[in-house]
Amino acid sequence: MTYFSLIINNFRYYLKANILVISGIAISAAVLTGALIIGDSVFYSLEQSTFYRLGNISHTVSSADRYFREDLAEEVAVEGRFIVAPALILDGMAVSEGGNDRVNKVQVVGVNDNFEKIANSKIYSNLSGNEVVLSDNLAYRLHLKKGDRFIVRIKKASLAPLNAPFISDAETNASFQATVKEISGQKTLGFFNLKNVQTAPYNLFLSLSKLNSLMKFKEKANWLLISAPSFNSQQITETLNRCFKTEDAGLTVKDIPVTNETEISSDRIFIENQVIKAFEPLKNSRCVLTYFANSLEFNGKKTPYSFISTIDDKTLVSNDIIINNWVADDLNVKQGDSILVKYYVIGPLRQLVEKGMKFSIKKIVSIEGKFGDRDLMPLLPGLSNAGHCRDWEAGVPIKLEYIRPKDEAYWNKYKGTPKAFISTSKAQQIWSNRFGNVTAIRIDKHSFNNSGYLSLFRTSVKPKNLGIIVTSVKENGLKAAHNGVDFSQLFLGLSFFLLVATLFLNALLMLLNLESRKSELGSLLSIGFTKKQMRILFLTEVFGISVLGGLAGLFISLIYTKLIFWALNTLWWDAIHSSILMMDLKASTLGLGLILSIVISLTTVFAAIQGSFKKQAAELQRQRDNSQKPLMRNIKLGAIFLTIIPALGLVIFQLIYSPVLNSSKFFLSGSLLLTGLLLIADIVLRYNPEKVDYRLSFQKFNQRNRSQNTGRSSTILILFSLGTFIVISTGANSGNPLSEGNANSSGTGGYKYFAETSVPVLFSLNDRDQRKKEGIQTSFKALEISRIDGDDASCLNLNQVSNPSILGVDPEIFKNRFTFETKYQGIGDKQIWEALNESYPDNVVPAIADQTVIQWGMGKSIGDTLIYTNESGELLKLKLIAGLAPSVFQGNVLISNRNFLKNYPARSGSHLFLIDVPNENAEKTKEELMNVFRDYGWEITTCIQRITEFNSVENTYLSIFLALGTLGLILGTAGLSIVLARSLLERKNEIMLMLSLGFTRNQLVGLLVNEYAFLLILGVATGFLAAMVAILPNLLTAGGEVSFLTVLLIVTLIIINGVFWIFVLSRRGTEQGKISFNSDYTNNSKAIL
Amino acid sequence: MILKLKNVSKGYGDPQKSNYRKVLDEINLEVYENQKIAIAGPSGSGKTTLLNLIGTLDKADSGEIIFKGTNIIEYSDEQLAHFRNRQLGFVFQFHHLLPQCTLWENVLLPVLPFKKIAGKTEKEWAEYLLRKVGIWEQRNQKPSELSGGECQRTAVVRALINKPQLILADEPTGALDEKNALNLTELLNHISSEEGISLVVVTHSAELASQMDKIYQLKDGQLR
Repeated sequence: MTYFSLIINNFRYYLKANILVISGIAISAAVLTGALIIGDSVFYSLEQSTFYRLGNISHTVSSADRYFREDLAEEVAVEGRFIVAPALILDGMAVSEGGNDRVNKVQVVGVNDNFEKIANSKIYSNLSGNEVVLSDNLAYRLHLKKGDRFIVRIKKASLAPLNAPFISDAETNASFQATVKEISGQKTLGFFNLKNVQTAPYNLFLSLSKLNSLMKFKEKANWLLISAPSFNSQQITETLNRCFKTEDAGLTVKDIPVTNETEISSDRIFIENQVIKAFEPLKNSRCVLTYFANSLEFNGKKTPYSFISTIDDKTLVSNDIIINNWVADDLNVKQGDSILVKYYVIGPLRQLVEKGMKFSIKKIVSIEGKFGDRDLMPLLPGLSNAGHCRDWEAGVPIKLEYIRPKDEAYWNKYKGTPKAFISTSKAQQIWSNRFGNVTAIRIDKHSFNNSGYLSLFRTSVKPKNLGIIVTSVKENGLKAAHNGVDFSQLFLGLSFFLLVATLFLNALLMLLNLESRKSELGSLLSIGFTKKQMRILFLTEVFGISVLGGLAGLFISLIYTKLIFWALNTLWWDAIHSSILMMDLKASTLGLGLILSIVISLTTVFAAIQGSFKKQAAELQRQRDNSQKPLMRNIKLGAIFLTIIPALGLVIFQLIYSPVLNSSKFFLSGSLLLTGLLLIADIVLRYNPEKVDYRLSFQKFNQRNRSQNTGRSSTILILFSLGTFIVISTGANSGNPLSEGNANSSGTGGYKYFAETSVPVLFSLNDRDQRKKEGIQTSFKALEISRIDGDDASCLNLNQVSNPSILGVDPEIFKNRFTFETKYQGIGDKQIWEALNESYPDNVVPAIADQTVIQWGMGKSIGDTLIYTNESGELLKLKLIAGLAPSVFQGNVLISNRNFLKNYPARSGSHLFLIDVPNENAEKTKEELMNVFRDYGWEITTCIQRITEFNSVENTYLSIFLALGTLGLILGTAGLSIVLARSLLERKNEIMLMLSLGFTRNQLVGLLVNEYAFLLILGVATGFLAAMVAILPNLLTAGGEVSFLTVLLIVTLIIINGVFWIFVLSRRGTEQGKISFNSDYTNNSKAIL
Repeated sequence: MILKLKNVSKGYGDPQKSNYRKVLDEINLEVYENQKIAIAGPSGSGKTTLLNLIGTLDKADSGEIIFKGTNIIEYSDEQLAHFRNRQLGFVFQFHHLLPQCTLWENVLLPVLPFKKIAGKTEKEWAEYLLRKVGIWEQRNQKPSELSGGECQRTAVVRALINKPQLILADEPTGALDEKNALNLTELLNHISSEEGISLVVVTHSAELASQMDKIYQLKDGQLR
């Protein structure tokens, strides 16, 4: 006989009991390891999704709303020895089946054959004509297969900003009938996406030349996709700088023979200040600003629609004007007369305000020489190339009835030759706009030197100054994936109660096991084993059991993880928003899981049996004594004061003094209260008055019984109270925005609808004339919001995002709307929106986002700064000044319109709309807007639905928590059943005796049910009471949603389930004829286990 | 006659299978008022089984158990419980006192099933008995604080608390030392005589058996 054989014998003899313990350990190991595997797998999946969406792309060159030469790609490739593919990426929509199948948000990607090297697939090569490659998700949505045809509509791109003055908005999209050439999956870059998000966009690839022709562009691109894994972004930026040409900045140089000048002009109509500044050193140069006036008026006579330009004439001061003789004849004016010039100034969203200014005629000139320079009119698409005035598409309303035959004649003869000239300073004073204040730079032809011009450009104009920036997309993507939601921690948190329940259960099983072997331990002690030897013997056994349990747990964890993955890909899809989850099994994780579960089980069991060993040495052969030592009792009393008083204090303080009921503080109060109540319950359980009381009743008898085995009773109590607390507090905290209605303070801001377009709307929806033009008849108010695209920082994205989309909003409108959860110190609640209009030194701009986005989406806190590059290539720092309660803006960061336009002046139109409409008109308005803006890719949803979608993530986490918590409660019930079965066995003699004393079976069942149901109900009541405090904000907040029915149902189910098992086991344990007096306890314990 | 057993048989296991073991075979027994009988026999002879059948803690396979003219085998569970409570008193080899209750509470325990709470009469009777057996002073102590003899005396008092007609004692002195065994024997003898209670004792003890009016030997399932 050796120690080893003794251990093996013991293990085999107590096999059933050991299997039970192994099962308990296996469950905890599975939950623990499963959480670690899930975490690894989510990281792995996000990492893989980065590879799937980027292919070989390591860096990108992107431009905000501007276009460079397609050839730039080739030049950068040669210069840097990288693989570079140009791409023109635009928004669009796709329609098939005669409009029955429609996808409004399609990423339209124009590529050439170089894309093959990026995608590692030849399917993108030789795309010709109308051939397109579709991502499989888009093909699935549109029910398309190879060879099928469908309609594609693409947001019309313009070399000039669409909101710039005199840019036509007549054509907002281009469409064509496409033929599906190939369908691309994740391995052939079908999931191509340059944003850090795990969800795949709907991609449509077509040839770059086709897309250029649709946009009426000539070999343009807005992205360079670079594969240069061994280069950093600085090296690529330097290469780009070397290759960047004036054409990439949209600049054109041409000779103006009439004036003997050379002109620098821009595709963007207005030349950026940085460019103007760069060319300041050019000698004999001047800035020109040519503007389109609505009319020149004198004494009721009117010359409509004329260009007015600037001229270098030092005699022109203040409101002096030079007109040509055609106008002088038309208006019948002479030198010195004062004429009225009317013109539009353009606000945001092409809001036109007609202004007028009187000018004094300084000179009347003939249309020749510098006064007959038709090149002064900028190249305005829709205007410059119009054959007749009636064909003008000027981006401003043209009243055709004002156009006379003589105007047509002027146009035919002189085109856009300015009819009047004013000083540059005056022109810039009245016509300066966010897009610029110069339409051309004119240089004396003899002074102009092309190499000097190019040299000035290279030295002073960098791509980043024009918003063309290099980004390490792969590095950022992997970083975002690694900093994303840690699902290991999340699932460990979500499984917390389940873990605690299994650990308690393991400790309980081990204690019961040990108790059943009391006599064996006594025998070992009597034959000379030391306590230390016995402890080692027992712990060696426990170690073996833990290893077996841990190994079994590893196996179960694979099934558990598969099950969780299945749930995450189906039932809990909202938590991940992707079906790309792939299991990543790492030996290190499995090893860690095994070691952790062994260590935890050993520690738990060791802690549990320590007391038992000490006790057994002294009292091995005696009956139990549950009397409490005074010191321990005092410690417990102290702990009760230290938990309950702060808990109640915190609740009272919150209710009386805090304007906002903070859920976290109430949860803390609830948890403290739970601890205190459990300690009180423990004292109640141990209460067994020694005072002489000669009465004996069933009640007193029950009290006596309950005071037996308080350790076991406490375990049951803790399991049920903790389970109830967690299940109720999570169940009740499920967000339900429907309850908040459309209150202004809610996350909807009081707005009914949230709409989004893939093509920007360039006009104001509130403009009466515009509504008439579009045929909008219903009455509503729209809030238009401009957007700078960024990553989605909402909880729908698992990656950690550093640059979410920026929205430009009017803070005035949001006063008294929405609710803030956090704010920067020193800002009053009402001042938060006002503060958004401020700007700080160093281009620091105040910003607001949803608190959940700040905390979880970006991993930031209030006061932190987000770094962007604005349109001018300058750093834009957004300082987070406040966090909104969950709102429709989730995923974005808000800045004031003022700051938005200052930093992104060329940003055209609105993509987002909040619609305020009375309920009775809501449906009609929705239908009408959907019809009117169908071609804009208009997607409209109620604000409540939008918040519900965001809440679905949080609610899914709560569902997981609830499901795992319920699993924990089931284990709690299993624990109760085991304890009850074990106790019935131990009390077999007692039951037999009571039967012999004349107790009926029903009385005995009643006694047992009473005794154990008391524990169950005390546990549930303790958890319930504490949970009620934890969910108090939901109970008290107007509109707070707590489903009492759900809570009641949960509590009732817990109690019914518990009482059912107590009843069943009690009936079984008191079945006469099946039990008898038995002093061989060990055999009995074996029998029941 | 207070108790009559007619052709009572009891076996364990499935009668159709080889592992079936008949313990009691057509047993007949008569016990009269105030009569004290001892049942002796080797271990495993079925003494405790017989006592359990009389005490209705187990059911006979066949035969009749007639208590004061009524066949109690036909009783319902409820009637059997009432019968055990009012007519019988049990004393076991091990005292089976409830560790969680004081001696006083253990003694009054049989009052609960049908009276719910111990009344004045029961308390006076309990006090009388406890004083009589010499453990009145220990009444507020728990079994873990008493000696084996004291516990067993308490068990005797518990058996008497409802003034039964018949006491069934299963090896009542089996777990006691010689002195305590003698004391308990005298106590059982004395009290049953004094209170006019019939006594059926299953014992190995020749000393105890010799104090009884009649001694039966149980062997091979037969009572002789």
